[in-house]
Amino acid sequence: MIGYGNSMFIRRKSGGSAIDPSAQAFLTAAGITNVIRIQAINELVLDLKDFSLWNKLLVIYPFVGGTAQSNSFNLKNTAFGTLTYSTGITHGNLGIKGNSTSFANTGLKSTTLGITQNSAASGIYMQSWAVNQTMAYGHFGNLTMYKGLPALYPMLNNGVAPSLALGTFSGFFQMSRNNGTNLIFKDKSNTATTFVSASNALNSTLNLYVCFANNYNGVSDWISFNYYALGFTETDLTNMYTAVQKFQTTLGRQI
Amino acid sequence: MIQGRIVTTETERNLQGIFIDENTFFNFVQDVNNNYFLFLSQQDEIDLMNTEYSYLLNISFSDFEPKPITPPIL
Repeated sequence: MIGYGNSMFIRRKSGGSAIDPSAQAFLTAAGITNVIRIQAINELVLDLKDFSLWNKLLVIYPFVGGTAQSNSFNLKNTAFGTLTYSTGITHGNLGIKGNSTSFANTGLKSTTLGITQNSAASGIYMQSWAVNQTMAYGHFGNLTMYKGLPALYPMLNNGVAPSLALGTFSGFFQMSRNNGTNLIFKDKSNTATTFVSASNALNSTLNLYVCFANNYNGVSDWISFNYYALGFTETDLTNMYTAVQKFQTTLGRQI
Repeated sequence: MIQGRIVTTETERNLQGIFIDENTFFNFVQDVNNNYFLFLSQQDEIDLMNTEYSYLLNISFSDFEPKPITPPIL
């Protein structure tokens, strides 16, 4: 550990610079200068690399910085999947917030993300999820999470979504599949549930959104993180939860 | 019920997808009666002040009733 301004500590990679190069690329693009936010992003990147998740991750929206510019960039690759925003989106310390009709457009489709039919994972971190019959991100059909009445339906390259009764609709929701027959789901309880759910083909038509699943009702809650990756194991999902929860805690917005 | 500003079809046709800054574009949504609604965040409103689009800020608010949508088959 080394000291860094204002008594803040930035973890140093052995023999490397204080800030991980991947983190630095994002911080530069996003225009982030606040030392706590720098620490949060740097620790997140180092943790994802330590857990061997980094290479499986394809798109990471950390929604840090509180502006449209800072909330636009993909931490994994700042030249890929840059978000644009429809009018009506609010940017703040908690991330981004829609109004049930507004959205962030990734410009990406299931077929251009880098996932495959039988290797895909995704997650979204929500401060709350108030309204039933809404989808928080992705696109209608087979890459989103749907809050029904009020069960949660993880939709990840599946023709028929399984349902899960949850006590609380907030925090980090994750889902993953590594084959054509099952998918794994975890919420903030970090307890895995495995469903039988056959995979189907990726959608090549609809762009992936945030705050609003393309072609369905959106949410009006704060969203603090969103990612897509190749298939995660149950251990990977646990490690992802650990890294992201630590990130949110550093920013003071954990739930 | 959320509220927004109703605009003309011509305004929708002219402005849909036009960027008001580097990251944010106009988006209009039709309600149950096919009226086009514009929703703006507080930051959007600030961004539109003193621009050629500031006239939009003078439109009064109306209740937005979304079109019914079919839930996914589960």
